[in-house]
Amino acid sequence: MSESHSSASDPFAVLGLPANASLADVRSRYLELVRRHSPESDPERFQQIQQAYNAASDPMTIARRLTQPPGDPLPWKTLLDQEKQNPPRVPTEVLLSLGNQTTGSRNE
Amino acid sequence: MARSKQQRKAAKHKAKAKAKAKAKAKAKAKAKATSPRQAAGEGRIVRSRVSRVRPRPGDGEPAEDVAVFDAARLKSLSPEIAQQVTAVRDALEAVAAGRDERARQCLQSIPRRSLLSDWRLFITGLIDWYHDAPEKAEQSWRRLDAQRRPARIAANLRQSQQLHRSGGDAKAAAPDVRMIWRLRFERPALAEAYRETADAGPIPESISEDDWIGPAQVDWLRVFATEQRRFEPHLVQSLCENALIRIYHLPFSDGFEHITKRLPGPVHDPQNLWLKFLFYAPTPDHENQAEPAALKYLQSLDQNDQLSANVRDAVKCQVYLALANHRRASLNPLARILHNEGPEDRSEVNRYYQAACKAYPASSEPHREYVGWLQEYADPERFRKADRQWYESRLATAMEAWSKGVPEEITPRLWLVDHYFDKEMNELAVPHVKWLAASRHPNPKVRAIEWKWNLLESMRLARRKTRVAQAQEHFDNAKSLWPEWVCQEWVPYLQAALSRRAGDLPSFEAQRKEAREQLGGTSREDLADAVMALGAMQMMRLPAAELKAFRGPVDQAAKSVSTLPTEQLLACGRFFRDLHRTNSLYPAYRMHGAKFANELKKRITNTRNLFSRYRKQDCWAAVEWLVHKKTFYTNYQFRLPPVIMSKASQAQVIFWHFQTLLNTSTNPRLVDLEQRVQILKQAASEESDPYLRHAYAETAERALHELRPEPLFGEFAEMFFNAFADDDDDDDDDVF
Repeated sequence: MSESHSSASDPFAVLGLPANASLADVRSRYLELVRRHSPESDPERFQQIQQAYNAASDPMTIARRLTQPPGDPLPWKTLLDQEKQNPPRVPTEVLLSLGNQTTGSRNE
Repeated sequence: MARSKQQRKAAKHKAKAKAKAKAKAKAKAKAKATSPRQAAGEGRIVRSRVSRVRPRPGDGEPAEDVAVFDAARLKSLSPEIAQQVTAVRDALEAVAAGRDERARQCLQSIPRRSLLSDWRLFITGLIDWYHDAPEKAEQSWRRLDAQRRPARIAANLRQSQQLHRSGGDAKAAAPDVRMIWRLRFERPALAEAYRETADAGPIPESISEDDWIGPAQVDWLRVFATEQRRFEPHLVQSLCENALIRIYHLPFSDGFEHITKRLPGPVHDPQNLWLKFLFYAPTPDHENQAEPAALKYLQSLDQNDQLSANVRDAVKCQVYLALANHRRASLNPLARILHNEGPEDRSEVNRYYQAACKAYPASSEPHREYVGWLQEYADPERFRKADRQWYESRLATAMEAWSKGVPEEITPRLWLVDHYFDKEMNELAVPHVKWLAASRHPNPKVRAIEWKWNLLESMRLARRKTRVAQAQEHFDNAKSLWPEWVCQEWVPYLQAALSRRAGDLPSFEAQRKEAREQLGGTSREDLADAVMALGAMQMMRLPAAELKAFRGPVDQAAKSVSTLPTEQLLACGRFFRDLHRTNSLYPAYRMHGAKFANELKKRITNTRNLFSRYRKQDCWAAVEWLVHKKTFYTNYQFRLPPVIMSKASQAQVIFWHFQTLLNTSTNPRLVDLEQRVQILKQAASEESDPYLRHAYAETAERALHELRPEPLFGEFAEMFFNAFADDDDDDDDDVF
C-alpha cells in the first residue's frame, strides 16, 4: 500500500521507498543511495542508509509493513503528481521492435 | 498618394485580420489537441499501434540477436551462447520491471569478448537512460556496433529523449521515435487519470472528498487498469491501491465487496483477501468474514511467487500473529476480566501462536508474543493454580522452541535455567548455563548466571543431608560471585540455613545472630529478618517440622498486617525486590507477599511525607518491589500514588510504566513514545545501579518495538506529563 506517513526511524522512509517495496527494490535503492552518499563524502548519511538497509531488508520488517492496516489515502492529484515523476519503462517487446530494420515504411 | 495610403491601410487591416484568424485557429487546434476526448483518442491510437509492433528479424541479422526475441532460434546456438542470450532476455525483463540490480546480476555472466557484449553495453546504458542520465547512457551506447539491433534501439531512444528535451514537433519525428515519446514522455494515460479522478461525482455529506471514491470512478479505473497495465503498470497499481485504501476507510461493506472484487490488490495480496480481514476484523461480522479471508490469504501465499520464500514465511507469521491477537481481542470483555476464555478459544489462540512460531522460527517476535500470552495467565500473582496450569504446562515447550529458533536470545535460556532447576532437571539446564556464561552478554542476569547456578545447585544438594558438604562448596562459590546488585545481607541467612540443615546448631545460632546484626539492630528490621530467615531456611530445604518455627513470626505478621509499622514493611522491600530481580522466590512468599504488598501500597498512598519520614533507599526499593508485583496495576491501568509521582524522576516513572505494560496484555497507544524512550535511554547512561542501567536500556528498546505510538488517550498522556509539575501535597488522587 502507499506510504501514508513516515518518520526518521522508519527504514523504508529513510530509503524513500513505499511500504510494499520488495527486497529487490530495497537493494536497488540502497545501492543507488550508497553511490550518491559514499562513506568518505557523507559518513553520517551513509551510516543512516546502512542501518535503514539492514532493517528494511529483514523479512519480518517487510512482512510487518505489508500486513499493517493501510494509512490514509493520498489525494488523487498528489498521487498523480508523484507518478508524473516516475515515467513508465518501455515493454520489452516494444523496445526490441525499435531495432527492426526500417525500409522507409512504419515499424508495424 | 492618397490612394496608396488607403491601400496601405487596407493591407495593414488585412494582415491584422489574417494574424488574428491564424492565432484563433492555432488556439483552436491547441484546444482540440488537449481536449479530453482528443487525449483519450490519442491514447487509444498509441495503444493500438504499440499492441501491433513486434520485433522482426532483419536480412542477415546475426542469429544471437534474433534469438533475444525469438526463443525458437535458441536451439540453433551453441549452449554457451544460448545461455548468454537467456541472460540478456532475463536482464531485459528485469529492467522493464524496474529491477535494475537483478538485470546487472544477469549481465555479469556475459564476457566482454562475447558476441552478446553489445547487449551487455546496451542494457547498462538503458538502465542509465531510465534513470534520466542520457549522458551516462551514451558512454555505453557510443561503443555499440551501428549495424546491430542494440545500436538501432539506442538511436530511437536517444532521439525520443531529444524530442522531449527540445519540445519539437512530434509529428515530424519518425514513427518509432514518436511512439516512444508518447509512451514515456507525453503519457496520455496520465492525462486521462488526472481528468477522471478529478470528477468524484456526488459525495455523501458525511464523507470528505479525500476519502471518497465514486462508482463511476471505479468503473473507469477497472477499464483503465485493463487497457494500461502493459504500458503504465506502476500508475495502474498506484491508482488501484489508492482506490482500495479509500474504500477500506469508508463504512460501506457493499462498496468494499464491489471494489475489492474488481480491482487488483498489491503484489502480496492481489485478491485483496488480507485487506478483507483488516476491514471486517473490527466489525460484528468478523467471524464469518475476517477469519475465513485471512485463512484464504494464507493459502494464496503458497502460490505467490512474487514474494521471496523468506518474506512469504514472515508474512505468514504476521498473519498467524494477527489471528491469535484477533481471537484474544474478540473474546467477550467480561469473560476476559473473569479469565474465563473457554478451552476452545484458548486452544485456537495457542494454535495460531504456535503456527506463527513455526512459520518464522528465526525471529523472536512470534516467540515473545506467544510466551508473553502464556506468562500473563501463568502469573501466580494474579491467577489461581487451577487457572494457571494449562498455560504453565505449555511454557517450557514454547521457551525451548524459542531458544532453538533464535539461539542467541537470552530470555528463553534464562527462563529455562530456572525452570529446569525448579523441576530438578539440572542436566537440561547445564547447556544453557554454559552458553550464557560464555556469551559475555551485558545483561547482569547473564553475567550472574554462574552465581545463580552455584546458588541453585547448593539449594538442590541441600535437599539431602548427606550432600550438605557439597552444597556448602557450591554456596562458597556463589558467595565469591555474589552480584553487587543483590543484597549482601542475605548471605549470612543462607549460611545459617546450611548450618542448620547440616545439624550444626552452634554455628547456626552464631550465624543467625550475625545475620540479624548485619541487617540492623533495631526493631525496624524485625519483619525483614523474619522473612529473610524463612526464605533462606525454605530454600535450603529445611524439613517442614523445623521450618515451622520460622513460619510462625511471618504468619503472625501477615495476620496482623494492618498493625505492622510502615517502616517494617518498607524494610522488607529490598529483599523482596531482589527476589524478583533474580527470580528466586521462596515457596512461602506466595502466601504472604501479596498481603504485605497491598498493605504497603495502602500506606504509601496515604502517607504524604513518606520520603521525609522513612529511609529513602527503603522507599525506592519497596516501590520497585511493588511494581514487580504489579501492585499499581489495577483495572487494566497503571496508577502510581501522587507521593511517588512527585518524588520519582521522569525516567523511573517511564520505566515502571513501560515494565508494567510490557508484562501485561495492556497495550494502549502512547503519546510521545519515542520521547519517553529517549528519556529512559538517557537515564540508562547515567544510572549507577548496574541492574537498573541494563533494565532501563533493555526496557527502552522493547518499548520502542512492542508498545504502540500515536495518541488515543490524549487526556491520559497529558495527566502523565502534567503530574511532574504537580505539587505532591495538592491532593491524594491517583495520577494514572
